[in-house]
Amino acid sequence: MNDGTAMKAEVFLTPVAPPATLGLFGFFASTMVVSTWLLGWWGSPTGSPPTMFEIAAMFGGVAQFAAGLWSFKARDYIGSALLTMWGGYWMAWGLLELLAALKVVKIPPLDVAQPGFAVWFIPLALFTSWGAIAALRENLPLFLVLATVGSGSAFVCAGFWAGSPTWIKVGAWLFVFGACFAWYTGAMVLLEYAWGRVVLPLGVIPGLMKLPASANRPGTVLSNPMEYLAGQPGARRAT
Amino acid sequence: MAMYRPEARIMLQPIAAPSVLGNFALGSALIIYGSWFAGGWGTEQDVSSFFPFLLFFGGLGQLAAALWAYRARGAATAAFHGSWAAFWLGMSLMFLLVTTHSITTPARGDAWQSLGQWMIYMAVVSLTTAFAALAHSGPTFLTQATLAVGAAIAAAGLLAPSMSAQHVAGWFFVAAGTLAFFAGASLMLGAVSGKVGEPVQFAHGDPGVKVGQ
Repeated sequence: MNDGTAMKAEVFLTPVAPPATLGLFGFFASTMVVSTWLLGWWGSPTGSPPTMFEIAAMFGGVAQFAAGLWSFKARDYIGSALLTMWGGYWMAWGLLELLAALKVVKIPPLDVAQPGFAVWFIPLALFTSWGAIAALRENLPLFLVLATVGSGSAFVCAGFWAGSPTWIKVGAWLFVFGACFAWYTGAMVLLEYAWGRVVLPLGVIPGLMKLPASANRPGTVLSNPMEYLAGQPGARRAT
Repeated sequence: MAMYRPEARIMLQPIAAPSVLGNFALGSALIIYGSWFAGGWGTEQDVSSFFPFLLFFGGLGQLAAALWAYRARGAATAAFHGSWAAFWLGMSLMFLLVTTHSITTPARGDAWQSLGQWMIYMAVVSLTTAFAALAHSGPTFLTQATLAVGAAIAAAGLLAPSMSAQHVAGWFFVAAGTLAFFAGASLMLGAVSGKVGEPVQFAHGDPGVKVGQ
């Protein structure tokens, strides 16, 4: 009921630890394991998946999905959308491989067209590429993650659609690069937060991205966290 | 019309340190799996008996700790325990499939390429979080660094394969688990003794307003 007095609103801001690191580490590890297997660096085409998919579904899937959900709290548009959706991908792939392990479905070899799986990579390529454009305002490592993974998704899509191992391997190479950039980006965010200053250069292009050029110099202090140092975790940063 | 701009405040919300649960849950899983992996006890069939424990302690327990760590503003805790929670959840699902005879896994000492690959990246992730933890806590750094070394040795032992390397890795897991218990216990005892910090509280309030229940 409005009794005529002026109403005031206050915005309460609550700090949280950066969720992106766990999501990017989950993406890094899962993408490296599966992409290097696709490239034939290790394992066998049919023997490896039954003992490979479980951790991918949990680390790339559940953990990355949870990090994506926490990214809403961090007010991170790119993380909340993309980590959550890539987490969804790894859980979906895990479910497919689980059904294969239970002999409910049969997954054909790479040289046989799989349009039902290829179409997964159409939305993945699209939203990841949009994320790459958005990341041009953030930092270069994140842009490189999303640009390589977005383009890799397009090649993998074409490869599974046509039953072309060559195109799949081009996509897998791009995924390997994307995974390495993901590790760097996750470590960059984590170490800057934990040490309170830049440890790994943040890869800022001055004028294009929001952070100052000094973010590229190790030792630069970028953040000024509000903390009650004698308090419990949450009132201050924890390990 | 001029836009109304509300006032903003930063609200800090203290919670109990989630790394106590994270370290105890991780330590529990590491000591059981590590000593078995090192050949210290049991047979290949024993995974069917202990995987539910790994699922709920190393997996679910650590995942809960990792997700609360965001609220506690613990970046290294969230990344480290979240990563290892996912690892144990995945391993538990694998052992569940072994138990239901849906898949088979290699015996201890044999080559196991996929697990060896996973161990490489668990080592990389753990080493990264250990370097971050070094900024705040010696015991946490030691726990994570020891686990990283154990995972690297396990990767070599599983890919080569080498039974002796696998055994060494298993004992490294046990050592990391023991350190995790120490790190968790030192945090918990420091907090309940009241000798660490001076938390904001109203002693006669409800739980949350005061420290404890």
